[in-house]
Amino acid sequence: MNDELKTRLEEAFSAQATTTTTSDDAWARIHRRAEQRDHRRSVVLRSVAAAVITVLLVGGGVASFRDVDEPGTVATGRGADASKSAAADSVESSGIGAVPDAPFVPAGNGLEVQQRADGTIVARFGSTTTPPVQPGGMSAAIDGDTVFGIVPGTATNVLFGLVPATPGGAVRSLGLGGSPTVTPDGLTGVRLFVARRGVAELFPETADAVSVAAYTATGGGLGETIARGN
Amino acid sequence: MSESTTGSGGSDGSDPTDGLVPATLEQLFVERYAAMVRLAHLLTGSNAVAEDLVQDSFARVQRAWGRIDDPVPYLRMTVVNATRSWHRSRRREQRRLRAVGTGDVEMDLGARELLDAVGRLPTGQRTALVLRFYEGLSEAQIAQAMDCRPGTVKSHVHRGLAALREVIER
Repeated sequence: MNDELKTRLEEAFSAQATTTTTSDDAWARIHRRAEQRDHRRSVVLRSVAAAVITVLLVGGGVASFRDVDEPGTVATGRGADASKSAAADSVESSGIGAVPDAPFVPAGNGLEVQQRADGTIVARFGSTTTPPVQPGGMSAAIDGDTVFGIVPGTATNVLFGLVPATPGGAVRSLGLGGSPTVTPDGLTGVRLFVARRGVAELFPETADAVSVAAYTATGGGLGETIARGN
Repeated sequence: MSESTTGSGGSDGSDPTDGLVPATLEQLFVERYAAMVRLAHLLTGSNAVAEDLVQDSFARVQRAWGRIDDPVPYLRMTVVNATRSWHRSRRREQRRLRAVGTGDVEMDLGARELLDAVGRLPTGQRTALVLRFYEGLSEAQIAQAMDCRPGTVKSHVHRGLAALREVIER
């Protein structure tokens, strides 16, 4: 009976298999599917990466707000605040609730921007990192012969002026370098600038520190800082 | 639909994996595509679903090509996994397809009843029977394709045959 059943099974399978057909464009469809799978995979990876960055940025923003409104409820890395409660200090010292800094994101022209967990923004160009931007201000630094700066906010057409880092110095340069660039992610409104002329040429007397000011296209001041080389 | 294929899945007892390892995906396609569609057809009961699953399996194999030594067993395992997933996620549709049957197929009543009975078996038993009595694989090869132990294959085949015998004797 077993042998007979096996034989019948083989015959039945063969009979059904005989009816199987395949399509002419199977090879092309396989490649389309492979492309679709690759596309889906890259979309998923991009979405995950975007979600992670968003969470980190939002986390940084929330941490910053909490730091202002509810001092000490979240560890922000700004250091001990006198108004923090003892309990909050305990939380911070234990590391619980600490929000990590967002990663540096490309901002064009070789610049990278980071929004830190405490809400401050810094930029880096090569090995040089700007000092954190203060609220309403800007940040700038010198890296070799290049001055670069970053201005937070919603300004869309930023000009940079460079003056000697001495009181009363005249503006030596305004709007150096090409167009400002915009970060391609959540740091909308942050404008960056890279001076293309050598700092030493503009400021032979003090090439390692210049005053950098940012203006809107209509001349409104956005911020000012001293740029120093690292 | 243009190419009508005939059963040649190793039911003569030969090892269908004998021979040279395909060097390219295109060679694998030429040599094994139709056979894999037939296998998937037997495992799902639907020609259209079978093609769909096998094309998807080839796309997976293409992605893994650099990591696999012998693409034929890998492809077979991928197809078997795909049919298992299909059964899991589409049981309702599967029942509908089984109810419709293969109405356009000329097949004697005994064979049709037997295939219907195979279609009602649990997925593991059905897969083991098809791989054993259509593909002609050894227990070890079936175990590799199903990602289980040879003892489990033996059990699946034994129980599947026992269930079919009951149907026939009824």
